Amino acid sequence: MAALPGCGNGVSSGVVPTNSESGTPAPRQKEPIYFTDVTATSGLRHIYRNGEEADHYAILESLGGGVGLIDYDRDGLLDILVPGGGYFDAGPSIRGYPTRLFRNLGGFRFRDVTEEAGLPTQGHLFYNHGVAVADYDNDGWPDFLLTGYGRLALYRNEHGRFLDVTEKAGLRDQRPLHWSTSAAWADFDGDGWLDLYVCHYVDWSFRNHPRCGGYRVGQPVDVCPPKLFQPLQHALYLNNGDGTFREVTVSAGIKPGKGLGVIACDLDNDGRIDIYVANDTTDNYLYLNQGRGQFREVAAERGVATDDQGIPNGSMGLDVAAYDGSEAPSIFVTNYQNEAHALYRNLGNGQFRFVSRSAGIAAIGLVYVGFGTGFIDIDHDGAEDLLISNGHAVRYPQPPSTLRQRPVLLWNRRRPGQAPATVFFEEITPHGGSYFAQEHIGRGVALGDLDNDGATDVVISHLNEPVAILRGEACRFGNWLGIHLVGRPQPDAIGAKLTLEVAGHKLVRFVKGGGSYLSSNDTRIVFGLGSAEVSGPLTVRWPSGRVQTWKALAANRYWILREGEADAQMAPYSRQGLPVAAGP
Amino acid sequence: MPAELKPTVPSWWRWEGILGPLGRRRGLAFLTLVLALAGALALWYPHLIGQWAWGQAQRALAQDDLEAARGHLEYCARVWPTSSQTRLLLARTCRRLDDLDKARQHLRLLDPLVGQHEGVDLEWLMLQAQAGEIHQVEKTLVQHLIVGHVDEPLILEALVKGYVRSQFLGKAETWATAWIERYPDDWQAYYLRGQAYELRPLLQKAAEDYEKALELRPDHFDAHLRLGDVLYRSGLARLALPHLTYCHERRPDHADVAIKLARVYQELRQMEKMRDVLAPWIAEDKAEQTPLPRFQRALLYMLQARADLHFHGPDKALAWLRRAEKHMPREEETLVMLSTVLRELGQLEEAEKYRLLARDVHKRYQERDETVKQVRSAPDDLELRLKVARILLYLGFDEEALGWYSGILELDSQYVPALRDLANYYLERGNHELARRYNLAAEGKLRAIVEPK
Repeated sequence: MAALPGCGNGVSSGVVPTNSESGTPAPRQKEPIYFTDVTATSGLRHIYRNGEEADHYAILESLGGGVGLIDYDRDGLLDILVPGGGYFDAGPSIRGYPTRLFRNLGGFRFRDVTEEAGLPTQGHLFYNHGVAVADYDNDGWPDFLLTGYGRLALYRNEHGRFLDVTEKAGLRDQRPLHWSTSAAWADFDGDGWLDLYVCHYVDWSFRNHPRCGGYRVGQPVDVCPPKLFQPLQHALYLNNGDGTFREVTVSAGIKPGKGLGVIACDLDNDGRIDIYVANDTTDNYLYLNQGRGQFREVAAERGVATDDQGIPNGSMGLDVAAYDGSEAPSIFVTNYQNEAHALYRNLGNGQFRFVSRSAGIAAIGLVYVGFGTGFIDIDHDGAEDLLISNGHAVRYPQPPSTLRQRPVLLWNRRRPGQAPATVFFEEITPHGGSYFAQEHIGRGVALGDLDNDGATDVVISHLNEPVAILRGEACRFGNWLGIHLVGRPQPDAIGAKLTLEVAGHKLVRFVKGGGSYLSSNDTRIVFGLGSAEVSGPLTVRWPSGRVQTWKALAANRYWILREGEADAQMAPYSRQGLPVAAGP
Repeated sequence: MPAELKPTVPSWWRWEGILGPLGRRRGLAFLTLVLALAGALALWYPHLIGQWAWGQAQRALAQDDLEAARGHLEYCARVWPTSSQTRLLLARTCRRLDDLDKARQHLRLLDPLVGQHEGVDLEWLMLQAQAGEIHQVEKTLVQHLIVGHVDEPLILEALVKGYVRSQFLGKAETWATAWIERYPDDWQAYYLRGQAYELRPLLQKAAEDYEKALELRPDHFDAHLRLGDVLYRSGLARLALPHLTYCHERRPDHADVAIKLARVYQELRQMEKMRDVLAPWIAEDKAEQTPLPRFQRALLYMLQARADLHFHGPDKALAWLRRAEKHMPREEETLVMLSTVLRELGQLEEAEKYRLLARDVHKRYQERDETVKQVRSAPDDLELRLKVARILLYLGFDEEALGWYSGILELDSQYVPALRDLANYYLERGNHELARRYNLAAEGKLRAIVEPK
């Protein structure tokens, strides 16, 4: 397929022969390739290591790490944070490898700036898994939370250098056992400051370390299943607005669970940010925000606790999108072998339905163990597709499943005006490019536009295998509109809902906290426009409740929309980042 | 087959009996001839067909088409009710088709015909083994194997089936493997070992054995069905599809095939095809009118509810789910679906009731799975086996439960809790005679529930 001029800022022309949301459906091209693996030339060399060489077969080894996308120096280019995992010393004691920060130099070139950014590389490091990026102190510089075994760490961004403020912020917990995994930032109590939900996993330690038999015939030992361990209490911290947090877990109604994934988004359209938690082998949780920092867990009564056979799945990663063309956010959750990844379609009346089979998700087969995931419009047709990173959690899986697994790409077959209930996905993994042709032990996935060309790129972490960077090619297939929301007082605008009219149809997107698996995505929103060059009105409902509308935003560029300001600002950053070091 | 047991043909219908006297008067002679011929034909015809049926039965047996062989042999048995050979072969065929009651009936009819007979005695032993009462007869059967009995494969078949039925899967695998080593081209050995693997559950190994069986017998219906099912349960619906389609094309009236194929179509998002597969069962209440196990009927309705939920919404689905529940009140998927559609219909209180019930049932399934695992490591533990049997009865899987009870009584024929359970089971189902016998056995007043001979 010929390159189309949707790529890059400020350029717009051409008609895209795809099944555009806004245009006439066209036959699918025979050989489109949606991603290019640029890892080899990127300069980013990083491997998350799990310490399996010690042969403890500890369940700690199975989790893996995530990826955080963070423009830490505000140069207009997303940089990459990658947790390092850990290892086992004699004792045995549990040690960590450093989390690395790679600065984006433009053109998919990266440089390790971990030390110069003030992040620790030596000393007592904890076994780390996950990253949650957000500007928690509203100073315009993105901070991040690092999760893992034994503790978590909050790093405050002080103009491009990070400072560990965990203690000062009151995030050192008094738990007898700490094992934090995914986390989500969002303003849950509506005070204009980002609060924090932290998932915790199970009560494994070397004091509670049973030896488990293999899952495959003739394999005497393997990693124990999570069912052998008790769930840990998750944590909810409210931001005091002065750089400190207070834990409100119990009073807010938060329950223990074997949590691996969490996302914050307004799931019942009441203007308050809710929380959905993916738990491993136990019911998933849906916490509806009741206001004033209070939550009610309703997963079972809303149909999102288990699969359609009533079985609590081994849930890991997750994302939320109005994939079906409705305005209601549905939930996608990656699951374990012999379980379908769960797509809970939002019926719009507060109820969800498990539609994995009728929506084509289960058709990929149930041999995968899914981790990081995300809705991503890979061809800019306006319908959000799905990307799933797979890889087994145990060393010697029960056949026909395997340790290393192919990632999966699912194409959203939605047509303009199609009834939401009939929308389905089709597997197009071979069109993903060379990375998708190989098997990996995939874990965290972060989605974001690393070169500001409007195509969402992908960074994937693996177990004991280098991090991969995939350049998205979506802008070759359709026009796009990029939106960078700047909320007031909270700049990240997590919880905002964006509704764009394109050729008589509505495209709805959400700014979410958390999501995927142990990872943090770009919070900017990209709408695929297909062949449309000009969009209709864009309405933003801010987390504060304020509603604003902008009209006729030109395609194929990013726009900065500030809460309370009528004018849209053309984003100054390009493929090479900002011309001047002054971000929004 | 022993030579003395060839079919016995009565002498009165032979040709020389018919072509006897011709009268002098032509008319009378002609009429007589015609009448004689007609009478002879009327008498002879069934036997002619019988001869043909016998040949067909032999051919079907050679091709392992037991269902067909049984049909032909039943005809032969009606024509030649005193033919010991026909009766024995029919009994054997019924046993191999797992219709043990019928096999037993035919063997009982044989007893007065032949008295003590080695072939018949062996058949009784194989019947007992296959019924799961295996420990009592294993030694004798093994002796037959040691001396290289002509019916060696049949003996192995009965042993493996018996061990599978009574859930001694390790032994089933051992005997099936021995069978394979001795007869590497016998498809049935792979097929039966596949069943043992399937129950453990080692689905991959089961699939490999079924595939091998199909290599040797490409047209074997049950091997296709089991392979399709195992592949589906392994998460490989796409690979299961051709096997189940094969079965459905040959037996569109097979409820189990329809259920499995509908599930595969659903998994592959071929919802219209799923609906088409179910349609004949739903139209004109075929599922009600066909004699089906109640769980199959329930599953057909539950799947129809799934199709209706997709195509029409919760209202229509609910009607089918109510019917499914009537047949199988503790079928987990039905309960979950009931909870789902009631929730979507806003009937939250009832939805919650079903959700909790489904949760309870799910726990029972987990408990069963855990206990079955424990039985694998302690196959002689009566209490563990009893626990599995009771859970299965609670869930409504009567046949499976009875298999477990038979395994228990195999280990200890006087095990009172099992005997009491069975007495209650038959009492509840109106079989007062069996209930009485189990109660007597529980009181120590009866040594065997069903006399083998």
